[in-house]
Amino acid sequence: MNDTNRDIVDTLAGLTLFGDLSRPQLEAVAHTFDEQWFSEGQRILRQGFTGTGLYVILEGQASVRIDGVDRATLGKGDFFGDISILLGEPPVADVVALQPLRCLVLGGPDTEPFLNSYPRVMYRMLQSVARRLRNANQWRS
Amino acid sequence: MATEVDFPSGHYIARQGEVGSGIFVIATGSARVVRGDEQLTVFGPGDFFGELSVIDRAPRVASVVAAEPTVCLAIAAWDFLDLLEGNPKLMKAVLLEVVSRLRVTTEHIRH
Repeated sequence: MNDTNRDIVDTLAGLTLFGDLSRPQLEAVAHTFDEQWFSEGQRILRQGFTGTGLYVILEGQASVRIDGVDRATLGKGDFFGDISILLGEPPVADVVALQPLRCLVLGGPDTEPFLNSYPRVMYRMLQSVARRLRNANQWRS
Repeated sequence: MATEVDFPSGHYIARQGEVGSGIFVIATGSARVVRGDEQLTVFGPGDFFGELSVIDRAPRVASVVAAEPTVCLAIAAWDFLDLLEGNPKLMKAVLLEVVSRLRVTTEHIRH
């Protein structure tokens, strides 16, 4: 394993989403995902257009924008792209890098098999999505 | 694992603000989902609810009231979590349902 991969595994170990995985599993995850960097202001997801993958933030912050209004800020350990990947529908929001952003990315078609292989990651994702739904409900009221 | 529970028309099946002790699946009948004075939707046979509060251990976001005599299958929180962990397909079904609701809610925010 090279230094970059070791660095990614160390980072993954500290994220809630992957918190239940063993070291060998984390290493497998680091191999499965691709690393991508985005510059400040870059739009990673585009509301209404095709979603491309599941993104997990390793460093930096991004804004969730719906119709041009900032609704939430995402940071280290947060993920996005899940709604459109899982439902096969266009993203419901823009996601824009607020500063240089380092992400791990898993292609859309690979996401379901990945979650099936790691039920504990799927459960953590479920918990996180449940919280987002709760927060989204608060925006409405 | 599941217990059958009868709810007369007008009775609360789940109350907004309480931390959920379990999830419910409607077997027969229907139930209104209300938040405050607003009716959000109506659930019928096969629909399930209560999973949010069980999954994130926070208070229920809405109340569910029997709209007619309604029979539910109730599954205790700890049994539900065991069930999910042992059945990735079921977990995926629940994840898709929650994600769908999140999408619908987000769409509503736009209007």
